[in-house]
Amino acid sequence: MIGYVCKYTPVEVLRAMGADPVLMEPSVNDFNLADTLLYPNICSYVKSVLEDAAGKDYEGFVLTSCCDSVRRLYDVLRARYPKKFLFMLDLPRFASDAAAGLYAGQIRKMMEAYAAFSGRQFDENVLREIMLCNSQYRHPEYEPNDPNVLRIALVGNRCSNGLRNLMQNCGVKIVADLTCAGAEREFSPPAEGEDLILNYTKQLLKQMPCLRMGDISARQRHIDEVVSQTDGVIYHTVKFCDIYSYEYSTLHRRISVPLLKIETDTTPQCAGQIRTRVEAFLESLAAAKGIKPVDEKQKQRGENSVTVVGIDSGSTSTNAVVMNEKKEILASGSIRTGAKTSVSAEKILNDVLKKAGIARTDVSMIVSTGYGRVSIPFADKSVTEISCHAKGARYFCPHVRTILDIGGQDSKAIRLSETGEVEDFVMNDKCAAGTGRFLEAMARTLELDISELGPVSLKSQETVEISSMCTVFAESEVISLIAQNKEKADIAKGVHRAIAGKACSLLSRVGGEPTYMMTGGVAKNQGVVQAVEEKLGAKLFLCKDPEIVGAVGAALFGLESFEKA
Amino acid sequence: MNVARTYGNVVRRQIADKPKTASAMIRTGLYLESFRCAHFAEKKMPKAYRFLNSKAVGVVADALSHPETYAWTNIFAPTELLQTFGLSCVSVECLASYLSGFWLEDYFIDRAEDVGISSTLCSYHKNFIGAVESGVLPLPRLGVTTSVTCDGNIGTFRYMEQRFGVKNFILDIPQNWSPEAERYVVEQLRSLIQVLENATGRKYSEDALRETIHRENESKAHFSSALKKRISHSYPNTMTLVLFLLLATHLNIGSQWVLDFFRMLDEEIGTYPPDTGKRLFWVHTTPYSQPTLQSYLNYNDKCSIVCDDFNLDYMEEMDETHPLEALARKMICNIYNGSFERKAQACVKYAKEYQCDAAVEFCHWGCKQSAGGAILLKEEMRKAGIPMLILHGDSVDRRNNHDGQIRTRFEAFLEMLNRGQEATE
Repeated sequence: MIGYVCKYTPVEVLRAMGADPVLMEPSVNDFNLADTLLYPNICSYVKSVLEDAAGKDYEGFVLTSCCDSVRRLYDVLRARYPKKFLFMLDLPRFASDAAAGLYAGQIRKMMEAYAAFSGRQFDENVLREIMLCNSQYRHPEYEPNDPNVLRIALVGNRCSNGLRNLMQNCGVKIVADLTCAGAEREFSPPAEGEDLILNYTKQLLKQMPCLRMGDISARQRHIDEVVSQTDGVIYHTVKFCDIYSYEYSTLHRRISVPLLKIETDTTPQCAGQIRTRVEAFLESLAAAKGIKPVDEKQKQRGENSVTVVGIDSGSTSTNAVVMNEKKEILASGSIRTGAKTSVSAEKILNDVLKKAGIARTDVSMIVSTGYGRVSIPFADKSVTEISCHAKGARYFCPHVRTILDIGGQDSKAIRLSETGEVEDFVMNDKCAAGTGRFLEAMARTLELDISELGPVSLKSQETVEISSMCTVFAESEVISLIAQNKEKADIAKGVHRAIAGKACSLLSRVGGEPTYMMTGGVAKNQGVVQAVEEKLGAKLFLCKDPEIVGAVGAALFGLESFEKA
Repeated sequence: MNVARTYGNVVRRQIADKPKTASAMIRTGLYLESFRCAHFAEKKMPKAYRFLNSKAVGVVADALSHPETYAWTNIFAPTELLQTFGLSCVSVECLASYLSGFWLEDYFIDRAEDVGISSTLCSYHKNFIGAVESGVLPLPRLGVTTSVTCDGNIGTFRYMEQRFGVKNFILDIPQNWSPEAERYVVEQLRSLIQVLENATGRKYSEDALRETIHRENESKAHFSSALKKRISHSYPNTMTLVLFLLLATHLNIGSQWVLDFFRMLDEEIGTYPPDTGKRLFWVHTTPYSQPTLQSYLNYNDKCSIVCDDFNLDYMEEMDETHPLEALARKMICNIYNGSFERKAQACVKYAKEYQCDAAVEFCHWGCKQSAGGAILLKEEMRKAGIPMLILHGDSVDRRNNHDGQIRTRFEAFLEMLNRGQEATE
């Protein structure tokens, strides 16, 4: 088993030498080894490859000089595994004949090195056969546009099958996979009269170019053609791999179909955030296309009146709302999420039902939202918090066009159309900077209760800057300010301004416009509200219980099920 | 009062609504700084560095004032060739550093991230992209970049072509030298010559290129001679000057003013007293605005940067009789190209040759090629008996450094070096 990472690896040549090349697509739980041997801020995929290399019995690795991170991976592998087969192919950036000549030379050197390492010899006939076989591959014809199915193009950097599965489970059709190693390898039959390796190399270099290549015009044309036949594009990047973000940025301007950017780091831990983003995106596309969610559990309206419960299971708090068919809130409540989502959801459900004086058997439907939405076994359906916040916000403020929601673990900005549909949204990344957790950490450092932070900051007299972007660094900065005897009020105000900076960046990225509304528990902090309003230069609409907006939205989705039925 | 910051704040207020005014103010600020450096520089600054400082700021101010005569390049680009076409070369890193000098980097970095550029991209590049997006940086005649290290360049230059129509030429540089690899690059240089002829309306002159390379060889001979003298002499500098040196060793190498500077440097170093402080070999970029490192490294006779890897990335004599081949070889054999082993060996060699007591690598945010090799380099230095400190931070974005962490690490490292010295004494 020889591990490889790049689609320009001469996989077919290795096979013709009797090797077993395997595309390395690891999913790892941590980067302990990679952080020690490489560096934390290196491409997450490359780090996961190093972890994988240590955990499995590879015969060796064939890498290409595709990017800075892979080049350093090669250096580390060479130092760590001197007895394994390791070869770095110097991959040109162009597909000219001169470049192909150079690359063919590299491939021949690799063949010599592998023959010397393994004693295996290259069989020309096998390579000819593979190329011939591949030449018979035909792209599936684009299927006719089914009005009930979302057609999505997956573009960008390499991504795990987990993401593809998630999309397919949501009932969408991936009509094109233009991720790094997602494309099929295509070859024409070997040209007669030309050196086989040179002919193979020319064809290898003429694959659909990735972003590290010098000339990507064919890629751009292909993307434009594919995208026009889709309902939306999901653009995937890998954390600490930056070269694809350029394409995202230009694509964002160039194409007219909705585009969602997601970033993963090959760990399963980021699955929650990715799920929310992908599902919310698909929900908004489905709504625009008039497609009913596939998982919707339709309920027939009975003799009795309809009562629904919306439960928003967030990372910090779990909120619930009981609503009747007149869209009146009968009861609402909020508790800490604690260590187990299903337990807190059960508890809040019982609390609000008791408050509303309604028996569990009289509840027509329970709709869950929030991070823990998929972990609530008794929920009849789940909707992402993006869609729920949008719906809930419109309930309280019919003219709202942009929502800023700052929760415990993440913050998001959502832009709505005039009719209240989600037009676009952005979320913070995995880092907790600018979220409720960040505020909690700062309050703890200042020895204040979280509820005191807002009122204290309003007494600020002096401007204090918290410049760091990172929660950990910011905490250290706060400690330094305490050491300088700065006033708590001033530091608290500085913290709020830092949050406001992050929030306004999200609002700017989503293309926000008035009327603005702020939701989530952090909206109860007057200090943050004031700082955001100052930075934004506009007022924020606030409702009495900003933390229940998501739950209200969930309940409204529940009622809609009955309206449709 | 920090004059640059105050001035930068005035500029900042113009960016959103009047980017051209902000741009003009930046150029004016650079001219004023160039004049100040030439006539009212700090007394501690050696004469050669005053000249360098003034020229380094002045040439960039000139380039920005006459955008038709300037080109965006990376620092490994064949700037000698561009000079013969009357183009002045300014790199992404250079422009980003100057903008940071006006304390504007946060504005531009946020702007770049807002348009979808990755937050984990090198902050030199984000700063540059944000400034162009904001309309503050004038668009040049063209861009020329190479594939030598740094993934950011090709992406950034191509982005500028797609977004703003700045014609871009990419030189694909193989990792290792071979006759075929050299021919491959020479052919690309010939294509570049055609592009430059079309862009400038000038004809290529091989004689002019030979003369440029001749001056480059002379300059580097003076530089090597100066560094040999630096072994036994102190020579006050700052992190900013180490950065400015890149304008001499890369972006303007081969020009007459650079030759004058290196001659001056070579003559002046010998006049300084012996170096009694800790001598550092610096790896990668210098965070010139970082307060703790400023306090320890700028004009400090107890501890100073003697030399660094960037400014010594290619010190071979170039073959003037085959100028294109010489340029090709220079890019292929650069210590920043190819396996990290090449760079590590060169760093150890120079650190020993110029008798450095220790090495410091600054892992700049977003630079994978440098940070990814830090552990390997430390091991090579250890084998050579040279202690090495790895620092983490950002050379551009002030928000992305933690002074407390840098201070503790740097001070502990100095304490360790001093204890080592006491033990041997």
